[in-house]
Amino acid sequence: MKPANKIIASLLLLVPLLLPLRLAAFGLGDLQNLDLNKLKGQIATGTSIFTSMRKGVSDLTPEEEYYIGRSVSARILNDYPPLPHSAIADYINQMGHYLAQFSERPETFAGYRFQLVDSDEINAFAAPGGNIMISRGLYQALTSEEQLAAILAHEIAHVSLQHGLNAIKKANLTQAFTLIGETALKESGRGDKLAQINELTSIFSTSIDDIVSQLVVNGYSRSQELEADQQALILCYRAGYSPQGLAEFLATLEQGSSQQAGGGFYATHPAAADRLTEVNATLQQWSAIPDSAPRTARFQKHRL
Amino acid sequence: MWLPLLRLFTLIALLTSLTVATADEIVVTVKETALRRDKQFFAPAIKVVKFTEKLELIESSAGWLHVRHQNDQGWIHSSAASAPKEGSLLDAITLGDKKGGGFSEDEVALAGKGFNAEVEKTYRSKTPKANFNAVDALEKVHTNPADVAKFAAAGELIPRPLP
Repeated sequence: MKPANKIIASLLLLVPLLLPLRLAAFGLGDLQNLDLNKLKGQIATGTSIFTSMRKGVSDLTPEEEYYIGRSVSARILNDYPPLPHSAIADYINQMGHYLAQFSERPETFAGYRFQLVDSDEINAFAAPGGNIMISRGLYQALTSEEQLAAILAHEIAHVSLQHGLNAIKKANLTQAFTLIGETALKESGRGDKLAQINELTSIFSTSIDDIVSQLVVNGYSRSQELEADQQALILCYRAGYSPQGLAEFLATLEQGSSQQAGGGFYATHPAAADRLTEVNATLQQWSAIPDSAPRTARFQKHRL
Repeated sequence: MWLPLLRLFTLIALLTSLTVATADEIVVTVKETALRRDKQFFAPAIKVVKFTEKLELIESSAGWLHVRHQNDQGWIHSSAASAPKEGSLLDAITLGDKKGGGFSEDEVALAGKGFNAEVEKTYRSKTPKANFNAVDALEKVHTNPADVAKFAAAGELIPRPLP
């Protein structure tokens, strides 16, 4: 054999050694251990590796979360119409984007957006993916920029922690993932595809109902609300706001709780006194931060 | 005669393994994001990278990723990209690219695309009590990072670490 051919032959021998490294570098190391016969068996029975590996909310992609969030937002904005006000829209969007930088998830698929909605209720809604809606009633109840920052930070926390998505019942998600996996494996003519889209839409619709129910009727769990409060304190502090704003707002809520009946904040959130206790316990560990004259003036300029 | 050849192969194997070990590929997971000159949201943008575009990870620091995209280098936040997780859509796309994975690219694309624009369109047609026009209008709102920087400065907002 010529020397050059010996070199080529020897290099080829190296390939099996390098392939595992190559796969590992792409984060696909585990694929080396895939049982291809089992995989083919799964395909034959109409499942797929994608189905078996997608189990919960964290397996939804950012793009899927975005589409879920759009539909949740559309349902909310039907019942709580947008309140057009360009100056306040700029104000809350700039503040919200500033605060989101300090969250665990500054970027979502299509980004955060903040909207005032026309309702007397004291309420706020955080749709999966980052559309956040604040009611006129809530906005008017605030008395400082620190308090507004606390509200926006609390809602950003619900998004970054995916509390809304966690409202989707596990059964719906399992059904969706199974259908999605089966869809990939069927040969689809138009009729077949249409039936599959309709079925997936039905599951989607149920999932949207799950989330809207949580946001508008039942509220998040107590632990999710307390978690969002703690995250809001951290966001506000790191952003340079006084985290005291959240405590002040909760104190206002506590005083007003006897006056508002029915829906809104009081129906969908744990008792303000309960939340205030937890918030104050954290604030005691931090030194106080003075008010800022420019922020006070700016807030007054943007009152409704 | 074989000793020089052995040295050459060892060198090739070593260089190749080093190259492979550091060539971490990640994928953009948001609609679009800016590749920035520095690791902060107010840093000037070099270019925009889009959903599913592949980036080469150079290093990570404080939640930011230093990446290479074609001939450019810059920073993106870690929430805008990730390495494909096993069984994820992005992993499926990567798997689908490889011959012998058993799936066509169309199948992979459909398998990963669960709740998508097509499903929303059907949902929208069946759900009269959903104001998608308001959502579309909301999505037209764009907040300029330069305005956010001015907002922070005007409000005397200075970032600080937790105590």
